[in-house]
Amino acid sequence: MIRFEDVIIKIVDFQLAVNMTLPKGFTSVVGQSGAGKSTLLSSLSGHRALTSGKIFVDETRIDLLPSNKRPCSIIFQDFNLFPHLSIVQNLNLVCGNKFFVSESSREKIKKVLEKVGIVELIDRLPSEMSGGQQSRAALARVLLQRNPILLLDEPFSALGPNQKSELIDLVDSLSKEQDISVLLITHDPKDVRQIAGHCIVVKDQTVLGPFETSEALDEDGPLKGYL
Amino acid sequence: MARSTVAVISSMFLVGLLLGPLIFLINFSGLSLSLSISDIAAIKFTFVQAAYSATLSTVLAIPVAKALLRQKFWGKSFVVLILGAPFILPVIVAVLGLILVFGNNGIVNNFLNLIGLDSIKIYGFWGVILAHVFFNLPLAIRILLQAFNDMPGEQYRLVSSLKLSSAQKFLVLEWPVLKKVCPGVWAVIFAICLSSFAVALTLGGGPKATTVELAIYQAFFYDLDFSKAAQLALIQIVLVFSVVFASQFIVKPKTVFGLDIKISNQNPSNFQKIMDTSVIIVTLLFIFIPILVIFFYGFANVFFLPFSVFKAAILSIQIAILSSFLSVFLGLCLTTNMGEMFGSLGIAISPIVMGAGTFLMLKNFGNPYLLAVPVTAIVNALVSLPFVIRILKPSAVEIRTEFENLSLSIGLTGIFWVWWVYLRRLKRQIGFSLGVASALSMGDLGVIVLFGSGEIATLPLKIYQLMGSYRVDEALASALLLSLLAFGSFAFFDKLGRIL
Repeated sequence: MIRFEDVIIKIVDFQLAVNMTLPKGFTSVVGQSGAGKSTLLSSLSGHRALTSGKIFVDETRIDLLPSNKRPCSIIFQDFNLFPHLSIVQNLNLVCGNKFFVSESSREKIKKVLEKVGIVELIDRLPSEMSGGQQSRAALARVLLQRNPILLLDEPFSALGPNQKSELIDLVDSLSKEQDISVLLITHDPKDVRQIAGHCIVVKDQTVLGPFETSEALDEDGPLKGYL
Repeated sequence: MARSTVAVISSMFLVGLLLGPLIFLINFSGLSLSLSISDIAAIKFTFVQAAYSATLSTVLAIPVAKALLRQKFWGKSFVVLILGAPFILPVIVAVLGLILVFGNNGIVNNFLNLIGLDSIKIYGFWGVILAHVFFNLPLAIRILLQAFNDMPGEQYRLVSSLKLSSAQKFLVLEWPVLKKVCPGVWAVIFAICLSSFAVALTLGGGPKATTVELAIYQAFFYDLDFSKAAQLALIQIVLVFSVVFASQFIVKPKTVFGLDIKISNQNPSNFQKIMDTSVIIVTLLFIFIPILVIFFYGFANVFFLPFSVFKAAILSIQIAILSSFLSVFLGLCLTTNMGEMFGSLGIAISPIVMGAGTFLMLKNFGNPYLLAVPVTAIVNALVSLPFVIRILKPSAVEIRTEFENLSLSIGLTGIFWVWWVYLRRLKRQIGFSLGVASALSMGDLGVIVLFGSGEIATLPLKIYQLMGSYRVDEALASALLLSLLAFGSFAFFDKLGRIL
């Protein structure tokens, strides 16, 4: 459970107010461009400081923690992998020994790459892989991080519809398997429909919700006009 | 440790290294502020030679840059690339080459005598100017050419559609570029020439051709007048700082942006083609004949050099390795705006002053000659540091911006970030800066003249000693060896950065 308590984030003349409690599971984040969706996720991941307010995860206050100590993993729209490092080196960065890839780390990495279906690409550079494969590698790293929250900042927007759908299914199944709560920013109604869960709407400098996705998609629901 | 903390600690270390010897020198000698006639003459000469060198280099660079811009020929990019060669060419080698071409028995004077004209003199004021133009003309050409190339193609297209005369084209297209870039080029060359030591030592000297830097050396080494050395050192710092400070207001940022449309921007006439070709050929001859004659005259004796020359070469290699790694290490710690500011102090503070202060400091603890190698390596590292930072900083800033979010999101910070991201992404720039720093150190004839002796001599000092004892053949062969080492070390590290 993630709780935003009287949170205000100010950036020059833009302000976002958040006061909500998100249940565990999958939550879609919807809103127009520039509404503050990425700002919301950044505040949770620690990349953006709060102007005021508190954030709790399961009753533990996290907004005072540095980003690397927060229980969140994040996948961005791009730059999710270091282009000069092979996949095994990229994933090793979140394993124990950070100077070299040990044999035990390699085995651990192989296992998660098997889960996301790209174990044969373990020694490839990101530039030698497709966009979908790169996203899978980033997802594998999330599994290694073992954080209870996964933030997805439009990570699949550059992919084709089939690849995107496959990856959202993969995220859904893996998050259920590992009990990870997911926040997904999206502009695509198909994404929202695909996942049963909750959604929130970022609108007029505030965050509305959470709503049950099925209700939100009703003709008079809060998602009308956004998808 | 945060990068700002690293930059602060490195800056403090650097300030200590740069200012410590100076403060010690002042303390040791007691500072009196009286200038003798010869001191005033040295200050005047320093200013006048720097002004002449900067003006000539800048003015001569304009037609060459325009010619290179207008003409398309096979190997043009190679020509532009090797215009960088004089930057890493050891000063002593260039001076020897210039003497072979312009000296009393040089190629030019032999030709002038043959046609019944008087000889030209390379020693003194004009010799110093000639050497400075030799080193700085290529720099000015490259900066101006870059500025012309940065002009949006759309402007050329617009001007050609208006059917303007040559004078109008100059006023509309070239004059704004020249007005913006030339003062900056002039200021950079002026600042470089203010600190001239090796050129003044070899081609200048005497009451009429002594720079402040050379006067510091003479006060320290020959007169043992440390107070005067400290006083001149302060004057030198004020001079260079003033110019560096003033140049901040002269150098203007790029303000004209286009859509980067690449179009053929010039249609030179046949007359222009002939003129441009002549200008390019004369410039290349001026720059490369002195280098080529060293290869020509030095080659015959290079295999018969005495052991002492090879011993000096080994010492130069050791110092170059030490200094280049130290310089790049400091450079990597100082890739912030504050770091760059402190790193640039190396330009303003004379190596001779640093060496002299360090020499006196070390004298309290034992024989300073025993520490000649580390002291020379440290001073050489600080001298090349401003260039190293200029090479590393743009890419370092880009890496930090590009990978900040990703690094933070996976908790990759500190030494692990340096290991996996910073060093690996910067390896090409690290290789290039190691190459530049090692080549500059290899050819340095600065602080070693204070610490050097018959026993401890780097290759440039050895060549200077051979020249002084009129062993010209050995000096030429040693100069060839030094050039090969300087260019070789540059090529080696640059290549290493590319293949690793």
